Parts: sequence; structure tokens; C-alpha cells
Amino acid sequence: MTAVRASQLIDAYLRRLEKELADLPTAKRHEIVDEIRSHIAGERSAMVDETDANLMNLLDRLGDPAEIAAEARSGAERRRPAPGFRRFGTLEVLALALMLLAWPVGVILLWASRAWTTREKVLGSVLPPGGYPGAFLVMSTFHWFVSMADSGPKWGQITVGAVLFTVSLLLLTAPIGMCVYLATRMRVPSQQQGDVRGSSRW
Amino acid sequence: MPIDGLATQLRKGVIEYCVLAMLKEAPLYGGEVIEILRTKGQILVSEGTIYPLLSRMRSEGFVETEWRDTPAGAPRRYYRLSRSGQRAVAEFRDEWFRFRDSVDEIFRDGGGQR
Repeated sequence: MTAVRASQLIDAYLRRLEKELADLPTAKRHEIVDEIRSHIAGERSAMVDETDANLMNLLDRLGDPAEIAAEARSGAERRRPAPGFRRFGTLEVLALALMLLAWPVGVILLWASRAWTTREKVLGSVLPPGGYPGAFLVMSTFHWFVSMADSGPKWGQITVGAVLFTVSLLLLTAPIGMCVYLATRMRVPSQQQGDVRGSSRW
Repeated sequence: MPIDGLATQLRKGVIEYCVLAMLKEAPLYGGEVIEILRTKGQILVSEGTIYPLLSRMRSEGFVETEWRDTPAGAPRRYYRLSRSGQRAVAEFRDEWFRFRDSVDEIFRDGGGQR
């Protein structure tokens, strides 16, 4: 067989493939076409006898370009609904903000979202309970400890002061700390991103 | 359902895991993947579909690629199993053995009639 005929067959095949893949992103299309082109080159160089029939068998084995394109597209379709990572949804932003400021509402939203695992939701609900309103509620009882310690010895007053200071520090940092933790752990599926209705589907 | 369609459906679900499992041993280029599948009988019909499959597995992070020079001719793109690819193979393996055993059992028992 003549080289002209061989390259015509292969060119026609690759042109059809290009056409079938036209709706794919350029990089993807080039990747597939280039790989198949070099596959054909490799097979040809291994052919003992490059006849028309051998070459046509090679292209037959590769399969109809439409079939290759269908495989490429089935992948593209499957990838789209796959989860995106760590993107913000309206529900999740609201949940985190309200966890700090209006704790019960925040917790309800936390559990309504699908962005966190059950373990993370439990952690978020109990550590610390109440968000900042809860923290201030606990801190409002501190004067009671202080007045109790006032009647005791000097070292007692210092100990109580130090303990209360540490607890206050924890109470003030825990809500924001948990909020940051949850923000880094959340996984909002990209399709439901910003879609509150979608988030209640679980 | 025509038996033809059945075989296609069965193949579709498993072929990418077969390819991933083959890459467990050593990195391969596309032609080698096809060559191995060719010796395994009924798994692969249109050899060209391996390339979009490999490309997709790369996008999904199951395989990594690198170009390697060849003694004669153009460099080849080699596909290597990534960590998440290894996990996917292990998961599929467990799932497949359970599934296969159940189907085998049902057919051994005469279509589920004891």
C-alpha cells in the first residue's frame, strides 16, 4: 500500500474524531486526539506488513470516533455533579454566623446543612454550648465566685482570679475557634452551592 | 434487554477499576494498557475508548501522568496510580468480591430457588 493512502485513512479517522469531540474543552480534546494519534503511530511502527487491511483493522480496533467521544462525554457528565470542595453556601455562612450570635438558630442550621459530618455537627453543637450569648451568661456568674473568694485568704483570691481569667479566655476564644474549625471542614456540593433548598435534601 | 446492551453495561462499570488495578504493578502507557486488556478477552471492545477513560481518571485524581522518552520515537505519557487511585482500587476489590459471591451463590442455587 502507498504511504499516501495510509496517511489518508489515518487523517480521515483523526478528523472524524476531532469533529466528534468538538463540544469538549480544547485541552481535553487535544489530549485525547494526541494520545490516539501517538497510539496509531506506535502500532504502525510495530506492524510487520503495513497493508490497507492491517491499517483498517487497527482503526477498527480503536473503534468508532463517535464511541470514543461518547466515552469522553460520559466522563464530563459524571464529573459535573461530583462534589466541589470547601465552597461557601448561604446556609453554611448563616449557620456559622448564627452559631456565634444566636446559638440555637445556628445549631439548627448546622444540622440542616449537608456540609458537615455528624461528628463535626456534634462537636459544633457542644463545644462550646451557647456561642457568645452562652459565654457571657457563664461569665456573668463570675462576680459570685469573686465575692466568695474575697472573704478568704489572699492566695485564694489570686487562685480564683487566675482560674476565672483562664476560663474567660477559653469562653471567648472557643466559639470563634469552633467556627473556624467548621469553616475548614465543610464540604458543600458545588451544585447545591448557595442553594438552601438543596441543603435540606439529606 | 438485548444481551449486547447487558455486556456493555457490565463492562462500563468495571473497566476503569480494571485499568486502575493494572497500574498497581507499574506505570503503563496507553498502548500497554490496551495490550494487556486485549489479552484478557471480553473486557475491552473499542480500544480507543481507553484514552478518554485515562484522561478522566487523571482529572479525577486517580492517576498521575509523566512523559517518558522512548528509545525510538516520540515520548510517551505514562499513567501511574495515585493514592486516591489506590484507595479506589481497594474499595472496588472488596465491593466486587462481595457482589460476585452473591451473584455466584444465587446462580449456584438455581436462580435463587432452594
